[in-house]
Amino acid sequence: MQLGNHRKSLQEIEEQINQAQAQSFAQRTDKLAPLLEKLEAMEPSEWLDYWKAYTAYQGAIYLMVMEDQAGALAYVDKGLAVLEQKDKPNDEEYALLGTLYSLSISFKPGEAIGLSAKARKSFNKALKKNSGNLRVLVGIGRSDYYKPKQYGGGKEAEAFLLKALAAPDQYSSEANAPSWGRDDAYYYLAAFYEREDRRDDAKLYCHKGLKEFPTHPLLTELLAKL
Amino acid sequence: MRPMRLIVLLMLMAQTLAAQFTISGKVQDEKGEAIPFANVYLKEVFDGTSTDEKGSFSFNTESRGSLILAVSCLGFANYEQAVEVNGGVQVDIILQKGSNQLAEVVISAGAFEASDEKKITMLKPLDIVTNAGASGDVYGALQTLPGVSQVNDETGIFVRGGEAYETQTIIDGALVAKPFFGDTPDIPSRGRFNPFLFKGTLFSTGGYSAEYGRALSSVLLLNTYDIPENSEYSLSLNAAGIGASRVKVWNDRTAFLFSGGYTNLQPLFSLIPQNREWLKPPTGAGAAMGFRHRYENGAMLKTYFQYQHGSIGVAFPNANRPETNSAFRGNNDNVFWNMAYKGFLGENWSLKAVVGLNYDDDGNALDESTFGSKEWAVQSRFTLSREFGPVLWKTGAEWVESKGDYYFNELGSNLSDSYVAIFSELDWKIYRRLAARIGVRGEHSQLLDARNVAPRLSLAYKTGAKSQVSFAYGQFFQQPEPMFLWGRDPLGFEQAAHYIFNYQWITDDQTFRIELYQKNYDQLVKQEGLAYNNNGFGHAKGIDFFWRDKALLPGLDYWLSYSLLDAERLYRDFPTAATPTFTTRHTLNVVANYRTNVRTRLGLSYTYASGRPYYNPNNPEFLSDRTKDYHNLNLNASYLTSISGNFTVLYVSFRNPIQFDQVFGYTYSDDGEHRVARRPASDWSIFAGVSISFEDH
Repeated sequence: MQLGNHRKSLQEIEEQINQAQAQSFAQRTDKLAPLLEKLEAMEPSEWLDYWKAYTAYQGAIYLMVMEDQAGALAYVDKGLAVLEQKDKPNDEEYALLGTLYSLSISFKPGEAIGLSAKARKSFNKALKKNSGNLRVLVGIGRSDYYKPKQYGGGKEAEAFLLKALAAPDQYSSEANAPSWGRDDAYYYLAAFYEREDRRDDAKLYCHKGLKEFPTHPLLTELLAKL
Repeated sequence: MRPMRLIVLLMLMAQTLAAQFTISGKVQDEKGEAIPFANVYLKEVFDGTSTDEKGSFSFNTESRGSLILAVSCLGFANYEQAVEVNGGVQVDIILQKGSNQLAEVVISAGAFEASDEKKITMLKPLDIVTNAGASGDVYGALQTLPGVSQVNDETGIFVRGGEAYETQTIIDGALVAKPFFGDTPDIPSRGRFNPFLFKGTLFSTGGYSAEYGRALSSVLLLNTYDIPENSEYSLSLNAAGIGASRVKVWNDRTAFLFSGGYTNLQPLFSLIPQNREWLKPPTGAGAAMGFRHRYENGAMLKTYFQYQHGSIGVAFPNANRPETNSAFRGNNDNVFWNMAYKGFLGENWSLKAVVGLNYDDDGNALDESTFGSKEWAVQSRFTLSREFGPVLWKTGAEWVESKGDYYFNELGSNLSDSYVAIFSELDWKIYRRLAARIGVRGEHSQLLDARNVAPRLSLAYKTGAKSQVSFAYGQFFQQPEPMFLWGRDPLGFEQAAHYIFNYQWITDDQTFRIELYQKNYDQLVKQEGLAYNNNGFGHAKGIDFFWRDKALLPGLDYWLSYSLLDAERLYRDFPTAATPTFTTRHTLNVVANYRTNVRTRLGLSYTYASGRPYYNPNNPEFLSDRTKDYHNLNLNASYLTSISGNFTVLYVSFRNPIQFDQVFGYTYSDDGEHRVARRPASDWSIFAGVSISFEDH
């Protein structure tokens, strides 16, 4: 990554983060930490905080899978610290903030009620700014998917995930705006249908998802189950 | 790229594109409204998409030939159509309302549920308030359900051969000790609570959850509304009185409710010929306050306080003194308060907790005798629940502290009890078609110095997309009524075992349900000389049948319920086992609502019940006489309109307009020479009113 021209340096940052995560899994070494260090060394720019937080989010997922709970929590806290101090977050930042709060429930189950409320509040703020933001819609759908039925979960997941799939990957015309999340929408929608015993609907979204993301491991695994 | 390779590539691409056909169209409901986010796809090949906001869809497929186009959407029945794909296909689809899922198996034996939140229920809350036989009373509506005997000269609900005290009413988890306005001889009282308070009603005629106890026959679980949608004022004026209410909502999360009313039946009784001499027509005044708050995490706190005062004076025939009437006068003050919290405990547990208070002061005079009671009951209950995959585990405890002072002329007595129960129950979805509920409840009464363990078991198996069979078994215990405990005889819990088998078939428009049951009573209070013991026993068995149809004619919704009951007891002062007076062997109800347009609704309810047993001292066979069969017809109509832009409901109802001759029983003189028929307070009646809601802008 080049330092200096920040707009240019953030080009394809999303792809770089995703690759770093893929390499981390392949090599079982955290490749996201050095990337985050580089981002932290950059001069402030419009999307820099967002990508720092997103790197932390991906790092948390990697360490969570590696069963390093303390390291994963440190990543989540780092991501939250970056976004919580934002003066006027945009819809993408609110969406990522909500996603991080949701993820943090896995590490702080005792604070589930408060964190869940914070996540929903962030998602709602993002929705107010942009009701068609794919990552907000996925975030709400995913939270509802994981919410136990006895707490009213499972009622909104389908609608929000279908809306997410109807939304464009990227709303902003800015070059460094994020575009991730569609694969998650396919996966959680298919998983929701599988859980509800709507097997044909589940197969439809596994097939559609795999057409767009042919190597998606979770979609492949789910389709094999159906 | 070389030109030749480019041409080959373009030709290949063209072939590929040519092999793809577009399938497009629109998905709508029966009214022509677009259905967004419906899944539309070709079966087996799984090419497809979801509809957009306008209900339109379009996708490409490489498949060809005869294929099945499938559509699924929440709230609509699944749709399939054969399509011939040899080119582009344009198809417009109309979905029928219905369920696109195999409805989950639910424990249904013994339970009648009215709910807007749950999809598959027998009734909706509105059915309670629009039922012509209900007269705006929750208990009146329950009278039209199967399993309830027509006992129109006593207060309470008599379920499957059980006495009125065997049914408990519970509001948001809190016990209601006195759910009816006072108890007047030969005149049934209405329920104390406004039916518009409740969003959900579960009436269990047996086999109910281990979460509840102290009821041999039945529990009525009433759940109040959460946060009202709008702030408003309302005024009501009817033939019996006036009422006003205020609802204030803040931020969709907090609400305050207030209502007050005054009733006086004197004007109504002066217009309608009465079979009674009213010394003081029923009058009452009351006020209620409620508070609701929904926390950010979805937890809900509700509290409700209600105070009511009522008085009545009536003269009724006395078989021992045919020339003069007996005079009854009664005054009643009642307070009910509860505070219920429904929320979470940590990440995995949900918590329901409630505290409740009941106070009832009843003072009566019958000729020269005076009698009455002052009763207090404080209750608390909590239920913790947690999901473990397909198993929901519920556990909790209940505590009721009660105290009562009772008097009859110069004689007085008091009772106090400390009742504690713990319970634990598993709701286990064994697989999608099979569910089980396994529970146990342990109870201890300090007054009885007795404890019991009550196992409960329910099973439900889904036999088809719309049908299921259920079975329930349970042991149920209840303390004897206070009047048997004054003498300090060493009495224990009364007991009943329920066995219920149920089949039900439900679609969106039609419901069929049949239930067979057997209830075995044991340890009932039995009088031997002047002392009481627990040597009584009995049984009730029968069949309950329910059919509801909303599809026969547009705007018409009707149901039929029929109950066959065979009950017998040897208890209290019965000299021999006999069918008790509060049972009807055959009971039939027809309830119909017809909506002529969006503003006008007409209702009808007809009830038939075979004759009830009554005691005839001249007949050596105890309780073998029967009254004549009972018939009753109720009609009602409501009209929605607007007065100065405010939502207004006008309503009118008629009871027994064709004046069926109704006799509930006979009371004999001590020597058996004379008897007096127990009849309704009037042969017919009419009731009308208006209710206006003013939205708070």
